[in-house]
Amino acid sequence: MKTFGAPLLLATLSLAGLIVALLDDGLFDTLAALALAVPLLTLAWARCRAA
Amino acid sequence: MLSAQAIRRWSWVHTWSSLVCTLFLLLLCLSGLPLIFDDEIDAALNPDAWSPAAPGQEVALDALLAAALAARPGEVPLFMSFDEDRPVVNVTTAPRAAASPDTLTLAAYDRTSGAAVPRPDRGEAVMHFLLQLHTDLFLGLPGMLFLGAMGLLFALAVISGVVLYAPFMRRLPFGALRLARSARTRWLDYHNLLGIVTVAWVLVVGLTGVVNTLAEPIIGLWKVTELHDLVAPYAGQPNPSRRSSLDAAVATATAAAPEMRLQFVAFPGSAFSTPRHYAVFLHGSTPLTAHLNVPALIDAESGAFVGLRDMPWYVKALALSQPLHFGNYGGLTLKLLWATFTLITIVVLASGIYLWLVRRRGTPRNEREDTASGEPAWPVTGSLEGEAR
Repeated sequence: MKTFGAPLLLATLSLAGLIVALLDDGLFDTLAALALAVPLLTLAWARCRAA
Repeated sequence: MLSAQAIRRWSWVHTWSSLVCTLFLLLLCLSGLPLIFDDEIDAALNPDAWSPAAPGQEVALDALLAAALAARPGEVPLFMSFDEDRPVVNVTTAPRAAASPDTLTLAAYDRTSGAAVPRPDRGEAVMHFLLQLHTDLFLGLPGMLFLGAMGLLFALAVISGVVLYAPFMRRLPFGALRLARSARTRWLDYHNLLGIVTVAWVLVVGLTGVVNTLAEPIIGLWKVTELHDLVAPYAGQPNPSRRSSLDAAVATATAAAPEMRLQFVAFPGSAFSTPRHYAVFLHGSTPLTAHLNVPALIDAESGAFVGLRDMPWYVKALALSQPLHFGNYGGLTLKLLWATFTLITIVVLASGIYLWLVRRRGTPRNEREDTASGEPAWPVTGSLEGEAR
């Protein structure tokens, strides 16, 4: 289960982002973008850490 | 924890479900990338912005319809749709109601003056080509269903990849990238990390793509069930000898659902209506409700209101699958994120092929050195132990 802790968190954030943007415009779009950006920032973090 | 046999089975599923669909998925990713920015590309290629002739005024829909039919003598109207961001009315006509798609003509009119609106002429052919390629490989319904099957295989590949992630990452921390190791180990780590981090987005876009490939059967089912039930009381009545006012029909429909907005009108005999009715499709105003249509049927001869019925769940699922697949519901930022996720998916697909090819060629010397140094490039479990040596 420990292996899937971070992936589960990222998947939840991604799904939340995808759904929140559907609910309304403006702030909802911003929140959705932030949530969907987290997985991408995680990739950048992993790359920087490995370098 | 998975047994050695279970890992071997999941590995087989992951390998072959991926290999069968990868080429088509690469094609879909590459053709889908420019489609994400369809509006922006159109605006960039056609910068001479059209503007309405008489802002604030409105020409009657009946007059616009008459103008469209005058421009196409002998044809019948099929649909009238309304642009969201400008006062433009689009009229689709054809030689007859049950016409093939290649005989349809679409003309745009200025709602404020009735004048024809020139269609964007640069880039449209390329974008149309890409959309067709992405939707059905130019094969119509069989092409759509084939791509749907590829989408299901892709979902299976993703799910089996998640199952295999645990044994692969058993001795590694989350986010591990062993850049100093062999190319195979490096790309295995990239494949695992990129895949697991984007898994939710990939599954949503993949499965909504599968639902979109079922658009024709879903609309067909709606017509023979819900639409059929709605108009059943009028079965056997003759087709209208003359048509009542389109403006009055639209006003009647919008009065029945004042909180909704007009999306499009399907004329009698067209694919989304019956031979006797105007079907006036209304929708909400939020990104969610904008995709949920509600048809109001108006008797085309008398102008009487026939009924308004919510779409069934399967049509709503189809409607919501479209924004969730194309990513065009949250502004430019969401589109840029969509494009980035798509590029990452391309890397995951390409790295998967690379890993398969390298594995087929056998384990290289530096790979053996990698695994000998402590951390396995492949899971050291049961039968897969051999791959780590």
